[in-house]
Amino acid sequence: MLTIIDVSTFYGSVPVLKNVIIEIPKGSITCLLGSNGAGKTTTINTVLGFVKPSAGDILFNDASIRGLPTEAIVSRGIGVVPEGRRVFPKMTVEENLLVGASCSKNKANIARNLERAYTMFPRLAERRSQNAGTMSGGEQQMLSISRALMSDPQIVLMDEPSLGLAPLIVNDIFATIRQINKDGTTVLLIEQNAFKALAMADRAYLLQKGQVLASCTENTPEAKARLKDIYLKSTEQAH
Amino acid sequence: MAGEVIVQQFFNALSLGIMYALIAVGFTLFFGVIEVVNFAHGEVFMLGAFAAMIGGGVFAAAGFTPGTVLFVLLVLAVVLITGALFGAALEKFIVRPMRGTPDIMTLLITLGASIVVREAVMLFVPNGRNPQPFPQLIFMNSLTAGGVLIKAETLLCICLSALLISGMYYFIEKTVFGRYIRATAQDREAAMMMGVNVKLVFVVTLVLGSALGAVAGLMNGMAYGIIKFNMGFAASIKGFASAVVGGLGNIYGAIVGGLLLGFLEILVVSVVPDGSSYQDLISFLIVIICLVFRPAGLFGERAYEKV
Repeated sequence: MLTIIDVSTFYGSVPVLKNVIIEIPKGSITCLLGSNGAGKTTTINTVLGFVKPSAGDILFNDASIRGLPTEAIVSRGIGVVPEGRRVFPKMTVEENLLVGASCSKNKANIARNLERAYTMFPRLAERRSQNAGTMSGGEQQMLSISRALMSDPQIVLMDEPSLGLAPLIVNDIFATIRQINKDGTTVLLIEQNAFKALAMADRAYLLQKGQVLASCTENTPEAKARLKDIYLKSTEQAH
Repeated sequence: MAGEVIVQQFFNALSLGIMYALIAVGFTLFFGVIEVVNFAHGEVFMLGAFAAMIGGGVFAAAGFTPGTVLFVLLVLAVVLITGALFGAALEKFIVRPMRGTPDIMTLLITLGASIVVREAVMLFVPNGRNPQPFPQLIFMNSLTAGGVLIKAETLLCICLSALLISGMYYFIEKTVFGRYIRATAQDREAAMMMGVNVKLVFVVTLVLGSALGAVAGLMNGMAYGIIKFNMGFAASIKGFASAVVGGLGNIYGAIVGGLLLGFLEILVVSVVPDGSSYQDLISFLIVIICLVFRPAGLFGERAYEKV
């Protein structure tokens, strides 16, 4: 569904991604692992067009989206749960959700998705006219996830959805991600909770210093164990 | 007698303040949404006044009768279109090419653009160096009640501005596109991730803000009957002062800031002996005091609160 082919990027003259190849099949949960600065967020930002690749191509449903403006990229069916949630703090919960539906022109769909969000997270329904900035981190994360789903995306890119949340809420968030995937949405997940994410993933890629160090393309315990080993060794080396 | 003077001055202050508010709304929108301080904003004020003068002349020559509702509406349309085009040009030739450069560069270029526009009007409008008489647009009797005399122009300007400002409020708070504008102001990148067309948001913001600034220029012409190529400079200082008082980026702050400045100026003019010589000093003083003691403005919760 989403294919990153041999992509390299620079911040100024500093290389960030080097020949990254990632394949995200339709219906999968694909996980990006790696330490801070490995290039996980840059990978998402490159897909979204915030960072322009200097080489390589990005295909979404077999069509190149490289070089398109961000709004054109996401309107093809990509939802985003950005790092740090990034809800609009001075807008109500409902307004946040409606901004998430900017790509959707169909009013009936928007109303239906609004209801779905409120059913999925009754907390958001209670607070629908409260400013998002006044909510707790967990609630904001629920909002950020619901907002990404408002335009019925085919794939959701999630950047550290469990960052800074209490362990109980982290479990909720993971359960939600599994449910979203079961409902038919492809997921690209960046997680600091590496093992938890790996356990849930169909596929995983390990990034280090902007390169794909290892990948696990089959959903078997052995393959995952192998990736886990490489991951642990790579983090030991880093320290 | 004293009561009549107060009522009289109240209307003077209201019309002055609401004119400042119209200019300040543009400043604050541009800062809040696009993160530019647009020092060419005073020129749209001047262009609005000149467009009304030239447009009024053309329409009168074309056989429309000055003073009719149609005539006033035509002039207003010309003013709004002039402001809108100026805003669109700003977006195309300054804001878009300068995206990604340090803010100070955009600020300096708008300052340069403002000089170019001002000098161009001076050079290319016939006799542009000298003050121009502003044509009378309406011929209605002044309102008198007790000893109070209010010019019909003043009332019209107050109503028109109140209408435009409430229209702007409605657009930003209640419409779908207004929601995109607020989202962009609060977190531009997140808005882009949600599929908001931020480029279009910039264009609309500049077009609307500039159109309001142009109407302020029209009001100024109607109120004083004389316009000049360099009238935009003082206007931009006052609009900017109002926006700073309200907290740059805060629309409602800008409106209150504009009214506050208008009332303060009239207060000084009418109370302090020979106060009118100090009228222009006040806005500078206010900016300095505000930046020192309340850099986020009177209503700012934190530095640079956004729309």
